[in-house]
Amino acid sequence: MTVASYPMGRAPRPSGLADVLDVVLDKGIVIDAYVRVALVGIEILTIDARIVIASVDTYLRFAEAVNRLDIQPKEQVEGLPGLMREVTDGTSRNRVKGALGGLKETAEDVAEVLRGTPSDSGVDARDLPAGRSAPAERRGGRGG
Amino acid sequence: MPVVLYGIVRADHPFPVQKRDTGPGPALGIGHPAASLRLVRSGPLAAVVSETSDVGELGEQEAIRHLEILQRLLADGPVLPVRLGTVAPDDEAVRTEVLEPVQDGLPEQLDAIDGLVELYLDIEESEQTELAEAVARTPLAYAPPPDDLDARIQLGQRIADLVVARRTAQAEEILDDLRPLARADRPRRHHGGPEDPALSWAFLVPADRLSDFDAAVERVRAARPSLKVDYVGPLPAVDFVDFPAHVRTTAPAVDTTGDTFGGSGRWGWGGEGEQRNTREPADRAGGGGTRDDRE
Repeated sequence: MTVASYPMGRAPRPSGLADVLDVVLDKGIVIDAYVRVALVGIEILTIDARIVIASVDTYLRFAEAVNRLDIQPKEQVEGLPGLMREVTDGTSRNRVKGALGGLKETAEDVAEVLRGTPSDSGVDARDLPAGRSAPAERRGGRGG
Repeated sequence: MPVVLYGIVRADHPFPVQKRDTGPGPALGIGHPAASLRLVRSGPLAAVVSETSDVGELGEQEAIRHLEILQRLLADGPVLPVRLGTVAPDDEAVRTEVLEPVQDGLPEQLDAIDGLVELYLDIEESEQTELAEAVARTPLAYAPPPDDLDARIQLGQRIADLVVARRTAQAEEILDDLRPLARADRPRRHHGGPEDPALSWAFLVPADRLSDFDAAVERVRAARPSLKVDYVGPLPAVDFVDFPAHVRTTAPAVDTTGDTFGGSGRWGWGGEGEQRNTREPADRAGGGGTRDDRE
């Protein structure tokens, strides 16, 4: 069933069977109590299948995923030497973090170092467990 | 001859389904062999039916065919769907047991959706994009997951709250753009949980304003290229009208285990388990069994 590339990007029909059944099965007039439908291969597919609840799994997945996100500031820091110099400076922390987003181990090492510095008033650990604090500074503005 | 029912329309509904030059597909109903669609009229109403002696198995293709037939009808006037898989013993039963019982209410329901069609949008965004945008410029960006399980759940919950808040704000902007073009609208799915869709919404739109709505959806797409927007329709406006979900006929209950048309009595066919595993044996495929069972 092809639904792509219709004029104005509107598909004439639902692409999923669940949405087709929503009209012809779930919403249709039921004549009398005797009508029964045996849908070969799709009996189990119910309209309620999409009912989902926020699960602990979701929260855990989000917690892990955010840590792995590759959120890059617009300005690119060129080369590792440049990074290390900035780390030493301790003034461009968020840029460093952004650039190191894909290098988790390194970034966490950097974060450890920075957490210890007295100028880190921005660290906000109010809602986090003791001993683990999230980097608190706003991500460097895209304008730099 | 038993007939498959597809929808109920006005008695004067134009019936171009068989005349249109778009191939035999939509003009034919479900069953083996597929028969032409026709109208069975009674008073102000008509049922769209096709004859069949063997409905056969109902699967995805039959569900799609049923929907296609409804959409073809919709092009010429209001239609209310009959549930997929409804088979009546003959035309007379359609008149006396389907159309006559609903003559007092259904015409008004058809009037209510005359000239209106249903469209819907299902909008998703990649989880990576959602998370990145939601936590950006918050203290949660790059938050390393705590080792402690409870703390990890707590962190994830805060992230989920941000994701949902961002989705909600975005959804409201989109709805603000589209609602002025719709007569009514309503959610198609639950919203507000982290596993819920970014937006899943149905709109009741005048058929002659379809192009305006198309254009508005295109503007939404253009303004938010990161969204995956499924835009579907026009469909019968079933979500915006209260029509009788059940039509009680006066037919006596029948033994659903009997060896009748497909095994379930006057209407419909097939016990689920039986139908699932086997096609109807040849000696049962004829339509006569149903009528025999009536008396």
